[in-house]
Amino acid sequence: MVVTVAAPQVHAQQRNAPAAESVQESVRSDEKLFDLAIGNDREALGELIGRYEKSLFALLLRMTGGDSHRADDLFQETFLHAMRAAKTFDRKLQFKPWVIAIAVNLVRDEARKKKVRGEVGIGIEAKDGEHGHHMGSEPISGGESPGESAERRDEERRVQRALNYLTDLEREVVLLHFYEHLTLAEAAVTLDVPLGTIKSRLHAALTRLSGLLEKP
Amino acid sequence: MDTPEPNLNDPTLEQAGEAVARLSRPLPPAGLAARTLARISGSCAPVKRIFWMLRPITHPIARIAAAALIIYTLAPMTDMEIGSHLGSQLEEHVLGSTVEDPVEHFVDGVLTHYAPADTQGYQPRNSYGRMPSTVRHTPPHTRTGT
Repeated sequence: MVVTVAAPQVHAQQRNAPAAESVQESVRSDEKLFDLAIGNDREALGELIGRYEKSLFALLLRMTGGDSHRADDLFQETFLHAMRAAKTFDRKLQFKPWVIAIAVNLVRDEARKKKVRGEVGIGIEAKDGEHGHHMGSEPISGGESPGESAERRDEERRVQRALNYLTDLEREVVLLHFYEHLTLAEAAVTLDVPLGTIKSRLHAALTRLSGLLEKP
Repeated sequence: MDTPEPNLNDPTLEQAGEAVARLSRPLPPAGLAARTLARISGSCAPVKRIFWMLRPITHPIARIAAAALIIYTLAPMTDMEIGSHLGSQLEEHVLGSTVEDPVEHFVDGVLTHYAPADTQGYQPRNSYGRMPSTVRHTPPHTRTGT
């Protein structure tokens, strides 16, 4: 699998500078953990994977339309590629956009291969739990009644279905900005496109998405 | 001509974005981190550092170059004059007179074999072993059928 890893230009120091002083020495940054992991520190690698386990898996699950088996495999592949491409990682930059860039490229590569094989990409009709994973499997927050929980799941299903109708490029930018909470600049760096392209792509995606969500 | 910047502050678009932001974060399957760690450990085993001179030459062009270098270095040794000159130089300047005699004696003992040698005329006819017969022979007691 050929993965081109875009080098995110968001500087770790630039983003973490105000918080860095207040953070205790015992809390190691992702970049520090990755550095240790490259040096064959299994404990550091385990901690780093643990940090991204929930967020990156959720992002991959949303990007693959709820296919947990694909998301599971892509999560593993992402870290495998990150370790193999460790030499290309600039220590002055942030780890998060870099690792997300790897994940996005892997999803793209897989989609491209599926297209070549004549397989359908994300199933538009992908339903809750259809691919072996319950999309709303996050623990129910305290005080939420069964009715509210069902309503929330219906809403999630509706949004996920609308997301599945978007093109791959549109879905990527919407998920990175709104779901993964990357800034537009970080998303531009992660997807290796100019900021203006990100804005216009996001605008087009949100226009389509709002139209789809208005439909009953 | 500059294209107008898209307005991302439109309330309708913001609502759509917020709907995405409200999506839950599904829990990863059990043991995902452990499986990932195991997969990485399996395929990214630490590289053992080996002194460069002891590493095998794996690149085909490098192999050819190494073979050429060895041939180029050893080829003059086939000339007896160069060999004998080099030997005497080694004896004089490297080994020294005290070591020279025992080494020469040892090398002579290893290389020279004084046992009587037979010519091929004295070799028995079947000294190279029996050639297998091209006719397939089956013993009578193993035959089957009428």
